[in-house]
Order: sequence, then structure tokens, then C-alpha cells
Amino acid sequence: MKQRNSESPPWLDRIGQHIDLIVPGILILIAAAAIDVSRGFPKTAVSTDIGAGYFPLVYSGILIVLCVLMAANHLLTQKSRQQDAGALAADQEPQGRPQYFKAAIAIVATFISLFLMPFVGYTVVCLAYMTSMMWVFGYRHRLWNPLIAVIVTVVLYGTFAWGLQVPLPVGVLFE
Amino acid sequence: MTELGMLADGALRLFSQPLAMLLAVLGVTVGIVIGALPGLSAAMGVAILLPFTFGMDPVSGLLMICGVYFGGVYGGSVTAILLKIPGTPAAAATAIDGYELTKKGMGGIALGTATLSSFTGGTISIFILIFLAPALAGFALRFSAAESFSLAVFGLSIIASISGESLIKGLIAGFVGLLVSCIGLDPMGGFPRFTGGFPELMNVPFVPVMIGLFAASEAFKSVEDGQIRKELKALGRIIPPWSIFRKLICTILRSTGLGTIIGIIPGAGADIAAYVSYNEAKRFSKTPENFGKGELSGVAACESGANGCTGGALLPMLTLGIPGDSVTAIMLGALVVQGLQPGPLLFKDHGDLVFTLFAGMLFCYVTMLIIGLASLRIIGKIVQMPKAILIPVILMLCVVGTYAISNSLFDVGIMLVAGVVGYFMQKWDYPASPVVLALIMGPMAESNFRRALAMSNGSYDFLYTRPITAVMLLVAMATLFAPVVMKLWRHFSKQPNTATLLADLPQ
Repeated sequence: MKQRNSESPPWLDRIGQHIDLIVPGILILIAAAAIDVSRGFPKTAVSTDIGAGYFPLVYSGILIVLCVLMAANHLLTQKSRQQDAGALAADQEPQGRPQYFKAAIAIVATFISLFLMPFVGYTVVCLAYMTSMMWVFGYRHRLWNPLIAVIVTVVLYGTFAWGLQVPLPVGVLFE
Repeated sequence: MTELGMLADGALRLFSQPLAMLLAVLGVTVGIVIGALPGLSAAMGVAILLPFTFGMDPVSGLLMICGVYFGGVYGGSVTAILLKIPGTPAAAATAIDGYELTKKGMGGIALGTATLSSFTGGTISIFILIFLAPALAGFALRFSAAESFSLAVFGLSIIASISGESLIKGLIAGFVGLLVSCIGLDPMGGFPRFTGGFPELMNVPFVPVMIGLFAASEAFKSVEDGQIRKELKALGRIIPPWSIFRKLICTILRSTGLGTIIGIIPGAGADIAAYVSYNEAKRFSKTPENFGKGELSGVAACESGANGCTGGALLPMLTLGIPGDSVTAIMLGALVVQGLQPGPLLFKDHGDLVFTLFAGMLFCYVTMLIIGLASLRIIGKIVQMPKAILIPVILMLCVVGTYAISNSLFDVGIMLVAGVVGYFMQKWDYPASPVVLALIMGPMAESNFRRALAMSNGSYDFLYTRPITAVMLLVAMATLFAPVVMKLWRHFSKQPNTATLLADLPQ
């Protein structure tokens, strides 16, 4: 079992304690939807073929069974896990605080760069992304940040666009 | 003249063609770089260089392609071990233990072991190709859709082995992967399944999912670390000491054999060879509990298996004209363009050229060893930059590398979504490797099962009347259920026996 981080928010801890119920629950819903959709898949012209829906049905069915087992295991072992967690927390020193905020920034920034790339192109996105991410993650140097961003942009461009003939996005604003 | 004599003659002819040797070196170098970059594969490297070979003599052109092939299969392991960015699907298996070794400060030893294992596996497989080609060629013909289906099921059963602490979480991840592998066109009828009207989902590429699950998710997780300004440790020693390496020799030889056999099977490539070799290494290990936590023999098995596949894949291509994997399918085209018809007559009509090619392949592997070991220190310096710089570089490399697959930003979106999913999977102890394995094996299992069913007129007897199929399915069941049985056995064997109970009774 993962050790509890004493610095993490309480709501996250509550989700973490019941994650082995939440995830199977979500997957059961997805699998049920997959079964519903798969039943409408047509058979092929080959008379002996099992059809396009057979394998998705099998996979979804097994997935539901596994999720039910997972959830049942979680509920049956809840008490012993709580005792173990208490003993573990008493024995261990608190970890340093994880930077969830920075992870969220990295995820959001990468999605934003993907969204902007068709409009402003690879070069602008890469320069802005590299400069800003290094700054957010703590590497703050007025000269080296943009310089490293330029070097990385040029190296990646040279490798992919020139070396491997991959046409990187130019951006509709610059076409 | 014996094969050995012909090989010696071939080597002499090769040394009289310095241009061919130079192009082989160039091919290996390009192959290693391409293999290391996420999103690019040996097949893409071969396809890119293919037009350049049209104007060359046959030996030069084919050796350059072989160099890219061999270097590409090996190159994926470098970034897989150092950064958990598998450059190729086969390297995803190497990343399981390779990256754990890097976290322990043994990245140099892991890289050195991967390089030596790749060289050993590849070289032995070329020798098998040279001396056993006629004997093994018939083996490829015995593989039909039923056998390919059973191989895929066996590959899927490896999920039990790579699930880590929780088998049920591994199986759930695996079946989620199998369900995702159903997205796209139905392999028999071409009907779009679960595409939601998006034409981009007609063919879901698993490489973006693999890059996202492994590389992007690890980058997002690394950002949480408060000490993001710290650097990775120096590589340290690269060549493993003989006392350690000699313990890996059995693993390497076994994995090479497995890789060669899997390479011979049409449609089965280095990725399947790597996972099967890993699984068997764990099965035969005295410390299987160490696998997944930084076990050197895991790295050795994956790399020797993957590179062992190269000789195996070339075998049916050269002897029967049947490509063993996607790379040899492209090489088949190169041979035809050069005026050489693969098949039994190739050895008879162009024996000199074939054995010059064999000598050149061995030269390619020696070149790969030298360039691989020499470049590790340089690569090690690059990844020692502060994580605050390295992580944005990794993420941008993932974006550009994924885009390079098919010039599609949609694929990049898939990669990022997989990265976020992989990030949360890591937090909640769901292994990512079963998802990748399922994405590789799932389509192979379904298409071959349905094909085998059509070939047997709707009868399921192909599952138990064909010996290879039946044996592989039994082995798959054993592999899948063995961890469960072992766990139950260990649980019940901990119960106190009668003597102990009696001794504890109060007097």
C-alpha cells in the first residue's frame, strides 16, 4: 500500500482511500456502454465469422467481472487496510509536499501548446513552452532560459524537419 | 563449399568494398538515433532511407538498410533506460526494469548490459540465419492464423507476469487495453468500431498511447518532485563487471533463441520477442520478485530477445520471400528493386552476394557495439541537465515525436490524454505495461482468431487439433494462472501445522 502523504489535501486522501471502488465503478460503466454499442455491430459477409462485436463483448464482460472482484476485495479488506495504514503512518516520517500544482500546470500547458500549434506553428509554441516551463519549474535565468529554449527548438527542428523530412506545423497565421 | 568458407569469402569481398562498410556505419548510426527518438521506429528509418538505395550497388544499399534496422531495434533501449521514453515498442519492455535501475543509480550498468546483450543476441541470430536457414525455413511455413492467434494469447498471458504487486489491477489494465485496441476498423469486415464519427480513430496508433503512458506520464509525475532543480546522477560504470555479466549469459542465450524463433514467425516482431523473453527470464529466475524493481537480467532478456529477432525475421524473407516483420517487408521491396528475387533460388543464383551480405550484417553488429558504447557517455552527459530543463525537453520531444508518426496533431492529443491517464494510473498503482502489451497483441489475437475460424469453416477444433496451437494455449493458461496458484499456495502453506498447534497448547 502507498504510504499516506501527510501534506496532501484531505479531499485527495479521501478519494485515494476509495480509489479502488471509484475506478472499477467507472470502468464498469464504460464496459457496459461498450457492450451496448457492440451488440449493434453487424456481422460480416463471411457466414462463419463471429462478427465485429464478439471480441469487444468478451473483453467488456471480463472487465466487468474483474472490476466487481476488485471492488469486493476492497470492501472485504477495508478494515485490515485501515489498521495497516494507521500503523504505517505512525512509523513513518511525513514526506515532502508533492507539487501537485506544478504537475497540473505541466499538463494544462502541454494541452494549450497542442491547441495553439495549428495557429502559430511549432517554432513559436516550442520557444514559448520551453521558456515558460523552465521558469515555472524553478530554473530562472534571464539569459539562459530563452537561450536554452532556442537551442532545443533548433535541435528538434533540425532533427525532424531537416533530418527526417517531417513537415512540422507552420501555423495558419504564418502561412 | 561449407557455409563457413563462403562466409570467409564474403568477408573478404566486403573488405574490398569500403563504400559498403561506410554506408553500413552510417546506417547503424542513423538507426540508433531514430530508434532512440520516441515515435520513430526502425521501420520508419528503413522506409526513409529506401529511396537512397536505388542508385547504389546491392550490397551497399542492403547493408545500409540492415544497419538502420539493427541500430533502430537497439536505439530504443537508451532513452527507455535513462528517461523511461521507449523509442520503440520493444523498448517498452526494457523500460520496466531499465528505468528502475537508473533510479537506483545503475543507469550506466543497465545501458552497458543492454548494449552487450543487443550485440550478443543479434550476432548469434545472424549466425543462426547463416548456418540453419534451410532447416528453419520450413518452420515459418507451419505457422498459420491459428498459431499466430495462440502466440498472441501467449503474449497476452504475460500480463500476469508484468502486473507487479497487484495481479487484478494488471488484468484490469490489460483488458482496458484490449478494449481500446478494438477502436478502429474491424479487421475482417472493415466496420468502424467505437470511432464516434472521428475518421482519425479509424486506425488508432498504439505508439502515441505508449509514449503517453510511459514518457509523458513519468514527466508529469516527476514535476511533483519538490527537488525539480536536482540533476540525475552521473552514469558511472558502463561496462558491467564480468562477475555480473557471466550470470546473465544463460538469460541472454535463452532470450536470443526465443527472439530468433519469434522473428521467424511472419507478423511477429521485436516487441513480442522482447516481452516473451522478459517473461521467460522471470520464470527461470531464482529471484522473480525482483523483476519490475530494477533487475538487470530483465534488461538483458528484453534486448537480446529483441535483437535476436532481427536474424529470425530475415530468415523467412531471404529463404521464402515471406517477411518476418514490418521492416523485412520493406527490405523485401529493396531486394526486388535491386533485381534480387528472395526465395530458395536466391542462395543458388546469388550465393556470393548473399554471403557478403551476411558478413556485412555481422560487421553492422560490431559497429553497433562500438558506436553504442562510445555514445553512452555523451548521452549520459545530456541527461544530467537539471530536471527543470530536462522535463520540458522530454515533453516537447514527446509532442514532436508523436507528430512525426503521421503528421497528425490528433495523435499528439491521444498521446497527451494517455499521458494524463498514465499519470493517474501511476498514482493509484495500476501498471501501464499491460495496456501496451494488450494494444500490441489484441489486434493480432482477434484478426488471426477470426481468420482461423473462417479457414476451419466455423469449427473451433483448430484450438486443439493443431499441435503448436494447443501447446501454446496450454502454456498461456499456465503462465496466466501460475501467479494465482503460487499466491494461494503460499497463503495456505503459512497456516500452522498440527505439530506447531499442539506445541502451543497450554500444558
